[in-house]
Amino acid sequence: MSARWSLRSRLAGAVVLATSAVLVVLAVVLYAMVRRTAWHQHDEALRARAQALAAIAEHDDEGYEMPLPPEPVGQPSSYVEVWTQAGEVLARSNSLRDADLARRDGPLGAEFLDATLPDGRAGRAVVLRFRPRDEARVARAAPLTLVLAEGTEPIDEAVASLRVWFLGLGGVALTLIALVTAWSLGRGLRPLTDLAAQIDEIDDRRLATRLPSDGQPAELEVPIRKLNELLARLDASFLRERQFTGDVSHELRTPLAGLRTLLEVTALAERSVPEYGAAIASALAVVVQLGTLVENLIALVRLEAGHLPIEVERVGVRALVDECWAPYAAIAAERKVRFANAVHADLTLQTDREKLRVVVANLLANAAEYTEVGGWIEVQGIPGGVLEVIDSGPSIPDEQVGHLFERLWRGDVARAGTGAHCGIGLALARAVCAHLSLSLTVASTPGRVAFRIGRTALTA
Amino acid sequence: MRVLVVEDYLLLRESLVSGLQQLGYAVDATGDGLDGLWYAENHPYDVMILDLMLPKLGGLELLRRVRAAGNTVPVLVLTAKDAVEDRVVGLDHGADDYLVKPFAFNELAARLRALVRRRYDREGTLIRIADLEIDTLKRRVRRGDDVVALSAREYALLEYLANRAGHVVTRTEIWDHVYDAAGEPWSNVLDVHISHLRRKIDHGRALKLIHTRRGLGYLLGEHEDE
Repeated sequence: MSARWSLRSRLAGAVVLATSAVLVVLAVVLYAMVRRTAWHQHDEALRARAQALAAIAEHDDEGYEMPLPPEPVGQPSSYVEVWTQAGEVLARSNSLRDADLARRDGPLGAEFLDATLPDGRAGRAVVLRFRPRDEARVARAAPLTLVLAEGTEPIDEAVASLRVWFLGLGGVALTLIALVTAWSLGRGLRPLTDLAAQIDEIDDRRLATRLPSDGQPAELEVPIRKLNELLARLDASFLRERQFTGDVSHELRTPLAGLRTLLEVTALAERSVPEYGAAIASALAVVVQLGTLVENLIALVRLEAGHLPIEVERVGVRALVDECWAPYAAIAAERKVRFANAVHADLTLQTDREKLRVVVANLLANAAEYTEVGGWIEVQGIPGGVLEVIDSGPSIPDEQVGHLFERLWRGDVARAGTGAHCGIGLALARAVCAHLSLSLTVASTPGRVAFRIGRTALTA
Repeated sequence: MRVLVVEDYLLLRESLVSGLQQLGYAVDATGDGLDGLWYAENHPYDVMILDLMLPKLGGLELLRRVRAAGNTVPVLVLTAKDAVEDRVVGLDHGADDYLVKPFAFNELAARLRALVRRRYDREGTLIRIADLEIDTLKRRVRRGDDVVALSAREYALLEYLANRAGHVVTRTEIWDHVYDAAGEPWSNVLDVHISHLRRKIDHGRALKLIHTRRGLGYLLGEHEDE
């Protein structure tokens, strides 16, 4: 889709580049060695022919004698010229015609050099300085200088064809390497492509899918395991969110359905004034309930998103408890539940008053609604903590205690009432406590349920 | 027609009971799943309104148990969840219809009528027996050209007899389908209602439609010997 680099092209490029570099270096070294050997052999052959010619030279009483053998016909010319030490030309090949070869002085032995032949061809020459055979045995003969020069066409052609072979074979080898690399990388990376296709098929409805690790290469084992762990976390969180959305819709829609049905049924026929009054009172209660629920939901969402600033002040806990209890006093009285605020008047806390109010109000609302008829509720300040809201039960079964603070969790205890006061209150209370660096825990024994707001290491 | 309402939200339950009673249904209602199951197992309802999220026994489990016992009562499920899978799951458990909360009471009433019609194998909303005409939609009754004014209970009794026209209906069956559990099965309320119906429908007419089978029950039809 976009012009990103690919693992495959990058690996293929690196492999082809490295192989080509090695191949080129190898080829160059090999070429140089073969070329050097060829030239060396050529020079040795040249020297052998020059020595064969030198063997013809003689020195006797009459001086130097050097009859050159006749030159072969039909072959490219070679050139020979021989000088005495004094620089006199002793012999020269017919092929030289009017030209001369360059004479070079030096110690006895052979010396090779590149030369341009008299006919203009490129050539190679050997300069051989030697003492001729001495027949006279009178005086030691002076050394002669022989220069033998030949065209280098055969060796040039051989080296050129070697070069062509090297280049050709090298090209073929590089192409093959590139193809094989691309193919094997494609094959080697196929599990990745397959994995991508499998991941592609996983959408938010198929989060229960897990990627198979059987038969996958060892390198993919860890990424697949990590991906599966991620999927499991996503799955759980999506499930939680779906559950929450479903529960929220239930909690909102059920009172709404009650409200609508109440109003529609009331409107079915003409009613008396007291009947209308009762219907309006019921409707109003539902609206208040829905309002509280919506406020709690919004507060919870804001808390979870971290958008709620804390405004710290000195809060008198006893007065706050009394304020929070006021709205529930009537319900409690109706249910014959006794209430006592045993918090000491001096107990204060450096915290956010409104947020602590949300916590206390939710705990008291919970107690007012679920404490058994004829029971009691007591709020106590606790040394080293903040306060406890204690009621006379019914106690909460052990297996339900762990769920109490879950958002909208519906246990039978929590659902024993109207069904509208849902489990959001305790979840919100605990979230607010955490926000204020307080803890909220519950302890339930027969005849006593205590919600405790405690200090944590972070509490000021 | 007798309806069972299983809904745990008190206000909704009470409003449904009141509304349905005004429409002439005999209504039993409860707020928890176990009670609901007991009612369903022990009374022959013509239709059942079932919430899915119930304390003690969930609505789906209740439905599953009711169906497992071979009970074919039409069930209208009330659900607060509107995702397709939530709706489908109710139907798959044996529900006949569903409504998503919040719903219009009129729609609920229409769906209940449709379920009852299907239960008694009727196609339309109009029942005709000789010159007696019962419009179950408008709950209006005519005999010939005369409009017959009936109380809600009298209408319910007539509609039940009409649904089973041509068959003898026992007193127990009438009690089960027309009166709710709060009624007194052996009181003379039923005889009073029958005599009212007779007076309003058959009085002064040559063709009598309501017949008594002594020791058996009642029969609504043109011919006494059906």
